[in-house]
Amino acid sequence: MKSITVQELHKLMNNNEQITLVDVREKGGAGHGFN
Amino acid sequence: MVKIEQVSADIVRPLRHKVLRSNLPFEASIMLSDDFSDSAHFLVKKDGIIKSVASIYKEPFEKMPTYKGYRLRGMATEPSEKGKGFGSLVLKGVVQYLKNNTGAKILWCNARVVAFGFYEKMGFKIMGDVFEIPNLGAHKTGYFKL
Repeated sequence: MKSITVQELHKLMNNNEQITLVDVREKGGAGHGFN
Repeated sequence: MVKIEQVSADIVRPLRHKVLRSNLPFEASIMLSDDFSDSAHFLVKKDGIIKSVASIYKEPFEKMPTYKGYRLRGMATEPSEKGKGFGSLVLKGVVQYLKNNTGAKILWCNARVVAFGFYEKMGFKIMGDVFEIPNLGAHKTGYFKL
């Protein structure tokens, strides 16, 4: 994962577009992105 | 882009126990419905280290039973990393997951008194009276409309 600064984190809190969900469960979904 | 990972329950339990159940045996961090198919667990890492975790369970909000509800539990951030936004990020991941995958209309939780500020900042409404949960302290109920 990319390292980010605290300031970048605070900026991200107001922007849902800058997160991505990734399913990394081993059973039934390893490495499968669901969005 | 920050990656929020959906993981199995066993991955989130160590931080959940450390932050929320440290006065109890590790087994106290295992929720009955952790492995239900409609439960989900999330975390955010930095430099490969888990910084914040959260879990959701399909459970109606008794104050608004007509809405499809999910309960937020086990929201925990590494103590030395509080206030840096990791909890906000993992909660954003939870909300995105619920919107994309469940049709849920309400996310609710029993929030510790010390965490009210965090939840309100994130858009939760805190309601009702303070109540005591044995071994876990004073709480209030909060909800977020999805």
